[in-house]
Amino acid sequence: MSSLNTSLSIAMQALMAEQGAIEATSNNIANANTPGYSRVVPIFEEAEPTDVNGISIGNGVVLAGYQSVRDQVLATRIDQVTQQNSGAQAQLNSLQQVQTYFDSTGTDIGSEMSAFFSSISELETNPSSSSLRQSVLSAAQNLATAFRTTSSGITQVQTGLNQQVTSDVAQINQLTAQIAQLNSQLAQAKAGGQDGGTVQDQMNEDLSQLSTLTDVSVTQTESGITVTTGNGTALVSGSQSFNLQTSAGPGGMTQVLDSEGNNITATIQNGDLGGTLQVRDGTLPGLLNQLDTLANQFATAMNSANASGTDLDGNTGGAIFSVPSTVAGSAADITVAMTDPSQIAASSDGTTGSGGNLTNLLAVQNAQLPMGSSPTDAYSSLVFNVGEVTSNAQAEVSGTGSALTQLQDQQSAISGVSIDEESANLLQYQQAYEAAAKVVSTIDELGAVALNMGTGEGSYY
Amino acid sequence: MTLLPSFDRDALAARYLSLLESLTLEINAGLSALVKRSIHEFRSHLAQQEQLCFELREITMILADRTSPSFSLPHLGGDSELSSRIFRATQELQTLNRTYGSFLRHSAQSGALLAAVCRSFQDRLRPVSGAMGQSTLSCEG
Repeated sequence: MSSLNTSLSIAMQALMAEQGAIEATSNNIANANTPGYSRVVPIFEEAEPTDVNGISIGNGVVLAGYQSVRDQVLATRIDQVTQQNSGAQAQLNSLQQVQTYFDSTGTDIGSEMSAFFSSISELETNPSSSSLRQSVLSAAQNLATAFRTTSSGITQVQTGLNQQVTSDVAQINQLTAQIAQLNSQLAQAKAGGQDGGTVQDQMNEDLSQLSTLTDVSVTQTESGITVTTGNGTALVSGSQSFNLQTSAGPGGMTQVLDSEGNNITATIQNGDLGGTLQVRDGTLPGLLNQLDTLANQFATAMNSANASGTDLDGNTGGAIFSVPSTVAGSAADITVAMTDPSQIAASSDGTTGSGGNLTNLLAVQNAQLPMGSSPTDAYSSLVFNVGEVTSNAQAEVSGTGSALTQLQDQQSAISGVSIDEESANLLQYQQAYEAAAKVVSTIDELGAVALNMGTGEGSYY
Repeated sequence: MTLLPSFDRDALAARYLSLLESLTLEINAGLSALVKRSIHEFRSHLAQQEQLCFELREITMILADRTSPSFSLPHLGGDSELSSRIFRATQELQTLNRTYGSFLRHSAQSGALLAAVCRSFQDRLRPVSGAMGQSTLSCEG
């Protein structure tokens, strides 16, 4: 009889466990399309075995209870990759705007620089020609305008990003306040013996949105969740939220402060805010510095070359361009100083109509500036750099986007294999990743060799 | 380095272009397979990628070898249209390769994390019995 009772008990436990599973499955199907809904997974455990005369007798499975479970590992990775994807997207959006100023439109710096030197070359055919001299001055004006337009364009993008920082911080504060409130509601629901699944789902949705804005870390505690930034600054703890603040920093750039007033701007790496800050404070100042250096050194070199000759009136050549004494702001403020075409110092020997010094002016195009390259090469390098950072951001957007799709697919999939099989499966992936990384590296090398061979449009070899 | 038979430069360049295009296709296919988490399909594309990389490296080494008696580099080919196509195919491949590299880096991090979880749970999980024995911790890659 005892054995019959034991068998019935095991059967009842198994039946209860199955019933629970059916209810969970029905709930999952009904909510499958609800954003932020967490799959409810039935958790089964073996019942404690009974020890009879030293022999362990199994007691079947028991339903330990429902747990609103998202696989925490996958959820964490999804949050991390979401933050990286949003950061890369923010970088890409702003860099694509910057790139338009370097497109070869005919009025870009490269085109205008080329036109400027062409006009000097034309002047060589008739150095005393007023119209050809005027053409040189006009080309100089166009080139100065191109420098100013490009500099102004980059600065405008930077200003837009600065406004975005304030907007992102406001959204972060709104979300953390909501999360704190939901945290409180969830604690109350659980204290009252309720599941609180709907509140949990809303909180998950808010956390996902928060992940698109900045890098956050979520920790489960007894009082609910604690949300911190990547560097550990508290944003939410239980029912309390801690607002980020903003303040004007150097150059009018908005700084992000924690609730205690500490500057955490440099520690924010991902999400829209992280990507915005990286471009605003890192990429764009770097590009502006390159542009300023080129404008300053190019103008100085041209002025120096003009000073080595004499103009139509027999005077030593004056400055063609005017730039600030410091490098900073040179591209924004470059102007043409020369007002009279006769001041172009074409002559090298003081003879009217001589064009000997035009060779010196033309030589600047390919002469090495203090920055280590010629004006033409320096500008090409600048264009290349803009293309590189934009391309890298694009690759990161695509790469993280694919990684996110993979993770989401993985999260929604139900695994039926044992942990041993899963470990073996993961090992296969790791080996494949290592082999694939070598392929990536080889293609990189092949590209570099191709460049060294002089690969280029129309001249591959 | 394996010596390739001597043939005209445009033929070599055409072969190079064909390999570049094939490799681009294989990387795209491999990426799709990984996103779908189809490891067998991915490994098949990976093997193709490795083979194509090997062939491309062989040709590249010959093209880069300016002392090679077979070729008078750097002006190897006369077909400018072919050169342009190779240039564009190289650019496309390099762009795709960046995406591939980024995806692999992020995906490998996820895999390493899950593998660590599996290792730490391996000793603690007991096999379950009964009708719902299939409900175990999900760690598949």
